[in-house]
Amino acid sequence: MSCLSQTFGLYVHIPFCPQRCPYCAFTILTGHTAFYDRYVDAVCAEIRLWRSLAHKGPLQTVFFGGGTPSLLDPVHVQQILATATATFGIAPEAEITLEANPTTADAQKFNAFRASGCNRLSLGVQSFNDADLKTLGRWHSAAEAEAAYSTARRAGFTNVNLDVIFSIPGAPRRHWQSTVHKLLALAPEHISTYALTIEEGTRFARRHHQGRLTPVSEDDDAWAYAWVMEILTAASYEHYEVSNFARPGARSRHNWGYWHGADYLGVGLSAHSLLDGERHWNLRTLHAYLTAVEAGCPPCAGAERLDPGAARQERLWLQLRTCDGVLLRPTELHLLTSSRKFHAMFEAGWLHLAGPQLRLTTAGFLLADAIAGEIIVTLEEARSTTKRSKR
Amino acid sequence: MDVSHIRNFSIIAHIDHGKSTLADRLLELTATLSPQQMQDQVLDNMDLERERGITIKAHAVRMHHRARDGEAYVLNLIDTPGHVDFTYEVSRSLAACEGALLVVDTTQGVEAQTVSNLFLALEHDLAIIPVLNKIDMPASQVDAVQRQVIDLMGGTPDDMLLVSAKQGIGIEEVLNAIVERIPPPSGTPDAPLRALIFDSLYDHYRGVICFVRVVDGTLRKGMKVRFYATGREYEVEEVGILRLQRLETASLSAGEVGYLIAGVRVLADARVGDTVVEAQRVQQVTPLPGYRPLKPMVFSGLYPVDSEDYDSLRHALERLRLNDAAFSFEPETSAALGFGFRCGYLGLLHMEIIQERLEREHNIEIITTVPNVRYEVVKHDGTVLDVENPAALPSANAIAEIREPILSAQVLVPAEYIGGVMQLFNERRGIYKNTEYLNASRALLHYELPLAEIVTDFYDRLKSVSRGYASFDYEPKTMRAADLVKLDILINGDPTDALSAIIHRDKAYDWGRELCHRLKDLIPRQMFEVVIQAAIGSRIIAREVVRAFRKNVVAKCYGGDITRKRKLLSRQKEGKKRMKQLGKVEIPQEAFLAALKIET
Repeated sequence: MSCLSQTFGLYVHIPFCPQRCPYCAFTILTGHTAFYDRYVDAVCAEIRLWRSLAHKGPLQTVFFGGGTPSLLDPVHVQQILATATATFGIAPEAEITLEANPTTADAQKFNAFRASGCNRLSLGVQSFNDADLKTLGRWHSAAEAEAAYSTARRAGFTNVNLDVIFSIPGAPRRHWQSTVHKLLALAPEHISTYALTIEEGTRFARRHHQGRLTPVSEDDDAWAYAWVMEILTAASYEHYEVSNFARPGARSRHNWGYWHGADYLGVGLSAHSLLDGERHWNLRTLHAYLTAVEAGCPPCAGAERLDPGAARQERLWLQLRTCDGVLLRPTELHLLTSSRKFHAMFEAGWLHLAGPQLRLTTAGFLLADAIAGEIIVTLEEARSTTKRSKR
Repeated sequence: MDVSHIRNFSIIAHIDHGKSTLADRLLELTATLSPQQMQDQVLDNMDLERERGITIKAHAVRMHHRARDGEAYVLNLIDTPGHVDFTYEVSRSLAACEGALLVVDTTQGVEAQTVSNLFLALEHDLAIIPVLNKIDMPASQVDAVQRQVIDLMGGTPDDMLLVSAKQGIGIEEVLNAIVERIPPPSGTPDAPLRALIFDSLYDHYRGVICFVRVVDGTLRKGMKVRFYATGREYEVEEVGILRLQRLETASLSAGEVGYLIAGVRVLADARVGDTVVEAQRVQQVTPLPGYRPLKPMVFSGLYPVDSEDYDSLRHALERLRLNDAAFSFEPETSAALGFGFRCGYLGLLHMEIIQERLEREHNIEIITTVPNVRYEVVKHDGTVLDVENPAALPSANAIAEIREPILSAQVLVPAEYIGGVMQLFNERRGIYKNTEYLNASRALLHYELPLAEIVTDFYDRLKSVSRGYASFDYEPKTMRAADLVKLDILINGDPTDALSAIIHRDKAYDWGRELCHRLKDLIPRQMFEVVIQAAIGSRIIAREVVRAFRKNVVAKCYGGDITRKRKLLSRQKEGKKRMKQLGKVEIPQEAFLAALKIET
């Protein structure tokens, strides 16, 4: 995957939403319609601030995420893509994704998005069950979601992702089963399945603390995940990352870049970037962001450069989340295979080792975080023990 | 120095009855220190002591007082430690005196320690001056307390001084009574030297400083002396008296109290209770009575949380031992906790003090194992071995009998709480001896009690069953055989030495069940299941399971999620480092303390 580190992606954060979903903890803004033009101008200005990165171009991927990017006027999208083209260039075969919600775009708008250059659509369906959608506080129905999918197809989107959520509080297992069966019937190129997590600061969290919302049990959560892995892989979707499934050749190239250390520039509110090993992130409030960009300053809120050890660790656990797993260095392989804990994980059937290539099994995906944490600690402790004994 | 003008005395009291405040007033009134120098409770100069309101380390100070007869007297106040762990040290301090002030708080009345300290003083034939303190307080009950004291030691109300140390009321009377009612020392200045070491401390510049009472003869600079018990000989470098600082003098003669510096390098060589004699005249003297070597009573393992702190921990323990001859330690290894030390203490308070000083003064985080007592194990082949660590207990089939230390304990308790207290002692395998009523409403219960039964949560329980009104005191009595078993805790089938305990068979089941239950709550869920079992020999008596994770993975990992997730992982990583790995699972440090909190 060495070619990936030479790819260059652009992430554009569109923070606007019609309303805040009760489970959402992202940086989003409701209302603020009067700011759309100004915000898009600022995003374009920010892109131009990075013209020194032109040598990394042309862009291989562009991703409009949010928020709800489909709330924008297609003209806005066009304006941003034109700016990106002028600044970095966009490769002819580039993947250009737009996130959309079922009721924020009609046929005309989908056509216009497609015409502006977007060639991949990610539709936030979440569920094909109206009761679940109500629990999630979504403002669309299952029928509307399905209609939006057809509209997108008619608009010429041949690469569509559907986002769905499992472990919705109160939902019986059969809701998840029927949602997944509906997905299979629609046959999108790509499916993202996210376990609902109750994030601090959300309405769900408040209701949970007040005892008015019972999270799904760990057993049910594990079942839902294991089940969907089984069903989707049986239906020839490739399970290529913890939460992502794709038809062969339809992986999200943009997201794949995140997990393999590719360079990407994130523009817009609170967006993160990784450029030549340095990560930085943008201001989180609209006013601060606009003020900075309009004054010609990068709206950067912070930056970090990981030391080689930390960077390697990050790469280890990020790649372990993908189907390819991680290519272990000879010392790492040696340290791990001499660890009792590693053997225990191996015997438990969570790991697969082919030469130096370590990857998770389906059972391992269920415990990806715990396993990654274990591997990192094992490597670190083994290293410090070796160091000490040398001393 | 004219012996007839010397008075040597101690102040004895129950904790918080005002001993230190009274000492302050005496120093103030005799102008031993000016009010500007006055620091509250001068004699306690360690932070810990002040916080706990108890004097841990004894000191002595010389005062001058012009009595009613117009003559000038030297009064030596020898301070005593105020806790049951240090009874032996108290007894050595009392042995250096001819009299004692028995301070009783009139808002509290006579307490267990008042009684035990009084008995200790009477054993040494000391003249006792009862001092009723805190008479200015609204809750003061002078009449009732006078009756309690008369019930306890006879006498009349007229013998008792009424004092408020806090307000400075009646202090002059105390000084006069010391001169008039305590006899002067009776030693012979011309006899061969005999001096009692009643305390010592380690000074970084001078080595060990011994606090001594010269009983017979004279101690001079340059003299060759021998410490009787250790047999070691030294040349006296310096002698002197104790004001607030040391004040060098040419000599100390019979009846005097002061200090001795003689190039003693380690505290263990200047044993409290030992007799200092002139090297050339060893044959002519018999040592002073009552010496016994200090033996630790309570033991626990101390392990550094971070194994890299092992060397600093050893260094810190060495420094603590420099100043505390009663504290002992030696290296030990635990399968669960790695490299550490087995430490011996005089008692629980002593243990707490050591552990707190390690964390506070030396900044080392430590894991403490459950404290235990020293057992005598008699094997079938007749050999007897001391076991200070449950892990070192021989296998059950090799053991003929296990003996444990038994205390003679007394608890003074208001009548209405007798039932609760008796029940507690019963639960703790106490053997009732008898009850003395000090008056209609307060009883002194005498019990024999295994020391092992008070090393966990006894004090808290006593407090709760008596609403804090019971006071407790004890002294070691004997070793006695009991039906003791080793209780092992198995984690995923492996015995975990640091959690093993030696326990009475009747309690093993409850203990094991309760400990497993607590461990279950303390051990976090992890990728592998944790099976916790309690076992006696090969018999499992309790079992709990910490379920393994079913699912542990964040769904989203894009852009900013990556930084967040990395921080989360590194926090988890730090958390894991603070846990001890046992096989394929991890146990947090708190788990090793769980047994401390168990009520049986």
